[in-house]
Amino acid sequence: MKLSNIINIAVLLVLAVSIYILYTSIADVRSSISLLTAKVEDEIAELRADLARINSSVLGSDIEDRLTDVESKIEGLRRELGELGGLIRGALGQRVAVKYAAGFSLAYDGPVKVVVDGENRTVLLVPRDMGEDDLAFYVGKYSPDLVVRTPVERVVLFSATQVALLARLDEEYRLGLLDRVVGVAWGKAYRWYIPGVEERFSDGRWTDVGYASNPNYELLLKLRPDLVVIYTVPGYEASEKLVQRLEELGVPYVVDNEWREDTVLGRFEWVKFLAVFFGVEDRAGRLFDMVERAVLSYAAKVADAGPVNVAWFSIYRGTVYAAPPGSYVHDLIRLAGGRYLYGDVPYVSGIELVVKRGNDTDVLVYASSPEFGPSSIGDLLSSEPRLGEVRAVREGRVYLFSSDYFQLGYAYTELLVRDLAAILHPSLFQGVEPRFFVRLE
Amino acid sequence: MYRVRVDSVEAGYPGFRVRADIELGEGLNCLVGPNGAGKSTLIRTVVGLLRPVRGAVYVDGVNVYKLSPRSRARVLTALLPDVPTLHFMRAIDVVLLGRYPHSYLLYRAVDEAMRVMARLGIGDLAERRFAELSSGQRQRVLIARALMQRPRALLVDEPTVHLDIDAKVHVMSMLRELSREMAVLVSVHEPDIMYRFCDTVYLVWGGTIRYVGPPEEAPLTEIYAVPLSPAIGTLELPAPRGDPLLHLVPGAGTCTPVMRRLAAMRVPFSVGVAHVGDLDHFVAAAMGAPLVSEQPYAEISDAALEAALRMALRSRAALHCGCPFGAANSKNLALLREAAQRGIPVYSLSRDPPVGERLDAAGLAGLVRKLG
Amino acid sequence: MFASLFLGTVHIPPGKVLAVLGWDFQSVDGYIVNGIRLPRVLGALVGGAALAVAGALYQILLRNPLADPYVLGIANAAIFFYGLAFLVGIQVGLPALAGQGIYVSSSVLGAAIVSALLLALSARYGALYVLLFGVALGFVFGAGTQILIALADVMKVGAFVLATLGTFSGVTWDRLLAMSVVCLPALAAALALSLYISPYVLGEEHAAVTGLDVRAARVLVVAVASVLTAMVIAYVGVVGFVGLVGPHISRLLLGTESPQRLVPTSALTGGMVTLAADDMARSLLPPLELPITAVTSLVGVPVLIWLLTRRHVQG
Repeated sequence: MKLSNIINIAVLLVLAVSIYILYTSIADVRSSISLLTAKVEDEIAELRADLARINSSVLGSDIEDRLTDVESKIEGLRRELGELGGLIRGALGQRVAVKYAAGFSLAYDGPVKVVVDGENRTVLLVPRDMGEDDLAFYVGKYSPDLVVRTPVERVVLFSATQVALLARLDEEYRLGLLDRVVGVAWGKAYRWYIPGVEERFSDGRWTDVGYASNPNYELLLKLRPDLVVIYTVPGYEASEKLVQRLEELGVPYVVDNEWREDTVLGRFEWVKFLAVFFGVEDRAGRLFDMVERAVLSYAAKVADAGPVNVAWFSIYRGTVYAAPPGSYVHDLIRLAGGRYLYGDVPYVSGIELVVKRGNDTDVLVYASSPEFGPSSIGDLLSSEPRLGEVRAVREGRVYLFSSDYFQLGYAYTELLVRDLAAILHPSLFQGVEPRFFVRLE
Repeated sequence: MYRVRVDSVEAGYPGFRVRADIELGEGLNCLVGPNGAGKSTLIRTVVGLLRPVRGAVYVDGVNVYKLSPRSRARVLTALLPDVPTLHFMRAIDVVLLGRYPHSYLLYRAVDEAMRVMARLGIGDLAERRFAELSSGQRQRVLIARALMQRPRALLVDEPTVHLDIDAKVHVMSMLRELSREMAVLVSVHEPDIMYRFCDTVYLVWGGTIRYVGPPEEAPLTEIYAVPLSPAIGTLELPAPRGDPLLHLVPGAGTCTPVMRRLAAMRVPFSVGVAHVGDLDHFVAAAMGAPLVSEQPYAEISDAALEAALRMALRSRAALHCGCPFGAANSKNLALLREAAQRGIPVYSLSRDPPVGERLDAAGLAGLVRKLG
Repeated sequence: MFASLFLGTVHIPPGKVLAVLGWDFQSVDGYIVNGIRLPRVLGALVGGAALAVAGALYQILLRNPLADPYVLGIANAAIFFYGLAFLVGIQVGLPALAGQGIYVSSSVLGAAIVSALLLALSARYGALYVLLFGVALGFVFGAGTQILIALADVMKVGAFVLATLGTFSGVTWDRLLAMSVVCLPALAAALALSLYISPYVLGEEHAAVTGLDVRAARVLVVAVASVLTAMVIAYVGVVGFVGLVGPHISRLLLGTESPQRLVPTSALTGGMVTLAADDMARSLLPPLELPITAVTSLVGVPVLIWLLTRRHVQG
């Protein structure tokens, strides 16, 4: 008797707790859950009534029957719970939310997805098999700037970071996304660091569509892309012309402006933006969660390690071009447990300031790569001898970007954070060799 | 005096050649010819601005083409027709540049520059900006610059182009004066200037020097289509062709302004009887108007009267230009009277017309309209 | 000039500046004054003088008041060769200058090639042709640079553009020395040349009959002005407007265009204008440092306009 009561109550508690967790953790499946919740609550109320009757007539003759009745009900509840779980899992698989990124948004409405891209354009993603009536309904509802049938099959990318993100998704989940790419801008102008890219160009699977600012439009049209992913630079004339021209030609394009995000995780979150067009945002969500966990764990690891002063700039002819305050770089330094020394400098300053802050500078990230930057500390000093007044230079704590930093670094954001954290706090990251930074000898 | 010899110089460029083989004489040497004849080309070649096709220029036996630009500038220089554009430089700064062939430290020669300017009558302009000077003053400043070079030969290309009459006379007199100290060759295209200032004329025409000698004998009429009266040194318009509207009765130059007006108005006229040597005769002959002449100072012959009367009777009216009548030209009065009797309207510019209706000078245009 | 030492993106009290001036390279403030500001101030004076003298020489040669040191395409050529090295990786070597970085060696090479072409041309043809050829060459190299930029990737282009902006903040003692070793003799040569070419103001033909060897004058002017321009481009970059406005200020102040006065005074006005502009560039909006070309215009134009209108009123 008592035992069954306890079992009942335990089951109820488990139910309540799991429903609560589901209820609170998945905001955008609330409505469907609430229906189920109501149903479960009805059952619970019935159970309670049963229990009350059990308690009041302890020696009732039909107690065995009632117990089997309760057990069968619990069994029913379990079944429903299983269905609910499956439903929620399904919903989780299809739906992701945008947490950090400021430049795009993503919403679901029945069979369609509504994306707002980097230029604030509304893009309606509809299944390939959606009928004309339904399509007309949703177009009427959202009046989008562009309708894309998903998943896309022929994609043209305009930047190497887009290629790198798809490559990472392929690497993690074997999705074959790069096989759905047919053209890439700058194809032959870059030296590529993403594996397999050069072969794709040389065997003709990919076409080089020319400069991102002024592509070869004839080639672009000939590729018959169902999606072109561009980036824009506000106030840059070539960008405006590109957009105008694509509009005129009726090329379906979306604007991927990840580079304008101010935060590290916000920038990486654009992986979801890219993935949704391929219908794989669930994997992108999983990848993002993994990266987020990693980034936050590195940040937590160095949180109490005491500030390390970081300078992040390049110098041309004595003019200092520092990473602007409030930028992506600023956030990266913060996450890696550093204090950015040039948070007050609006991008351009003079060498005097560098010397003035020279003795405070623990680590210098010289914003250049081995191809264009100095090859050694001696080389750095011969191009700008006054950097000798900077402590980080004297102590040899000067780092350049690796050659593949600009192409691959962003796709491996968690490694960027880990690398910088290890550079700033070597004692906490023993044995870690930076992947995307090169120490100047 | 310096000897300047232009020895078989052939100047020009593809499609245009001009040759000269001359030795400059005493006094002012003038290169005369119509525009495009090659005066400037010759001058610029002689001074070394243009490379000669062949030939040489000798000053006192030295071939100037063999000299460096600086040494050459001590031997000969040129005044060019285009005026340099200068915004700030003072007149004396320009004059001082003439010191250049002698010393790079120009400002040590300020005293000499002031002397040269004073001599040319422009001493008071020394501190003025060159750009603010009149054309004549600028020309004199440039002459002063040339003098600072102390050349043996001075070549001047079209010195009078932009000048008014006073300045023309002034500048030409100055060059004539300078020709006593150095060899001077000036290119001139205005005959009146030539007749008045030149001692020796070199007539450039058809790619060569056609004539060397005194200006009076220069065969200008072969060169210029427009009539010239060499004795007066002026050009005239050719007389309009067609049946004469007016017959002019001349004398003592009274018809000269009338003929010029009528030629300008393109009104045909005839003239007679005019005495040879009378200004009216020079002008009518230069214009090529129908003309009846008489020997100087002689009484007009009957034959001449007869011829002039025929002319008068073919025109619409006869005009007495106002010359008083005396022993030599009384037949002109008879001519007018006879014409009037035969029904030809007669007008006179005289205040007190001996015959016909009085006409003042301003009435000429009205008369032409009435007749025409 | 003295005041310039007190100005900068980092504030140092005047007393402190005087205390460390000339000897202290160890302390931070001392290094800023002696290691950064002093060579920079001297660099601005030398560079400004060089630019203004080059501008004055070109204005005299071309008889064009709008001529500046870059009119003959030298800057474009220098930038093109730098772009070739930086954007494409084709570094045309000048081994003697290798230690000075690719900017210096490319700029000198570019300027040398254009100057050699122009010298060959200026000996044969008149100043007008030199101008036309120079401008045409400038366009050719400008177009070449455009093509390099179009072919290169965006990241590199950004850095390239930054590196081609002129500024005096890159002037160190070493570079000041390297620049001065060429610039000071070239400035002295320009002074001597100013005596030699004095009749040039009259125009080439008047000058020729006054005894000037016009060909020699053209060649010498292009040579000296090119060397001055190339040195400044190599060590400082393209600094606009000084070469144009310096000679004009001299001309208006002195009321003469005669080379022997214009050239030395242009050196002074050019140096002063540039120094004042550089002072403003680094002290107007600290810690921001403004591009020097923007400030030379800000300083030079009002002075020029004031002088021009003053003259007009008088005239």
